[in-house]
Amino acid sequence: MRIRIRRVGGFAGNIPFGAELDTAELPADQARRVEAAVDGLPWGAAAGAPLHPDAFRYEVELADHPDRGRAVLQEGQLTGDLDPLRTWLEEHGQIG
Amino acid sequence: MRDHDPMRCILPASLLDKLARSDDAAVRAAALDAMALDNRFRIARAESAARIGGRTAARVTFARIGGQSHRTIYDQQNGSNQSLGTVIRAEGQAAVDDVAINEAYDGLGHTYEYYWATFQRDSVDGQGRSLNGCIHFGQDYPNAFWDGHAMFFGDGDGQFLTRTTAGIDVIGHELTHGVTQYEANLVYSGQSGALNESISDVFGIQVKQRALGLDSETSDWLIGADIVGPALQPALRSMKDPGQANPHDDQPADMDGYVPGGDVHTNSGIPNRAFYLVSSKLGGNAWDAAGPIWYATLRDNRLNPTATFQEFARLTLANAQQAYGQQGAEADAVSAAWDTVKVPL
Repeated sequence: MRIRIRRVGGFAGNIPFGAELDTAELPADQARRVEAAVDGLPWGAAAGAPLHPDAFRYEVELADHPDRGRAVLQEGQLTGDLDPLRTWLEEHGQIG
Repeated sequence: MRDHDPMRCILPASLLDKLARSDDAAVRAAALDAMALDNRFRIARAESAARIGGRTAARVTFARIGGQSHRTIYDQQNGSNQSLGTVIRAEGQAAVDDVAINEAYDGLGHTYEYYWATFQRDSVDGQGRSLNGCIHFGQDYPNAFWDGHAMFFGDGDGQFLTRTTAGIDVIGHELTHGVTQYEANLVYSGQSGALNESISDVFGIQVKQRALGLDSETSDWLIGADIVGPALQPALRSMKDPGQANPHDDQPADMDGYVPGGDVHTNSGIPNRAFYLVSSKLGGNAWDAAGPIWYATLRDNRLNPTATFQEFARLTLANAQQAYGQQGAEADAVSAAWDTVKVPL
């Protein structure tokens, strides 16, 4: 599963920052947990307001399933089984 | 009685569920539409209920003299918890050997001083509220924010952003989110969200200009110049040239480039530039006339939480005329600025 993740908002909210994670690059059991957690995201739901001014939000899309639209997560929601997405973004994220 | 009584709706939720599974595509689509609409109402209600602030949020408790800040710096020790950490420097205590502590303390002071000296505003709420700065928030956290109660500073990741306490404009920006919360309480999405962001840049840059003795001409009008890492040199945003602060800056310079659904930090470039234009046209310090016009507008009861750029622009003109005269150079500069950024008055 190829997962596109973008960090939006924050004090530097006019600078886009994102990464793509192919779960094939993760250990198999971790990949399964990430895929199951991503599958259960609120796909296509309207994004709520940020928790406070200059908070981060994360936009998630599936490269092979554009029909599912986008899921938006608040800062602090990339935890548990979704944590590898956050670490991947921090380590491999690109500006632009 | 329950909060949500399905008997009081036009269609009970169970019937909508059934219709959404109908064999008839048109019925199914209509039911799904109704459910989506209902969901949007729910989100809007939840957002509205979760909001803090507004003009009635600051209660007058007793007559204050004002003019004295009450700062406390807390060490979050790289935790991501938003409760206040360990007190490491309180008002009046001497500088310590952690530069982030001293920068946060001084930046909160510069911001307090700007609002007090310029507008006799006693702290973010106008009632002498304590200013809490929480440093070393998170692990290499590339951000800073005001959470409605305190300001949090990340140490930065070194590439994107560096130590966020180093930006006097950043501290002024965040505390101004607090001022806005107690005044117009602009909703943080769409044009009102971009205005909320712009107002933080407008007053953040003035806090820096006043602290460093810069006027409209000598200021570089850059936001975040002291906190950008190598990837975003020389700054995050430019109020003078939106979109030109660094190779990745996506801010539009006028309404022709307005990004529908864009981030609030993107479209804020338009009102940012309008402020710069007024200030540079009038010359001198930004807080001589341009700052007071924007401040009066932020406090104006006619400025709604959902204000558009045009509504805000019209109120800046009304406030410029009221304070400096119908035919004054100030009102002319305000009209010309909004015309340049293509916001019709």
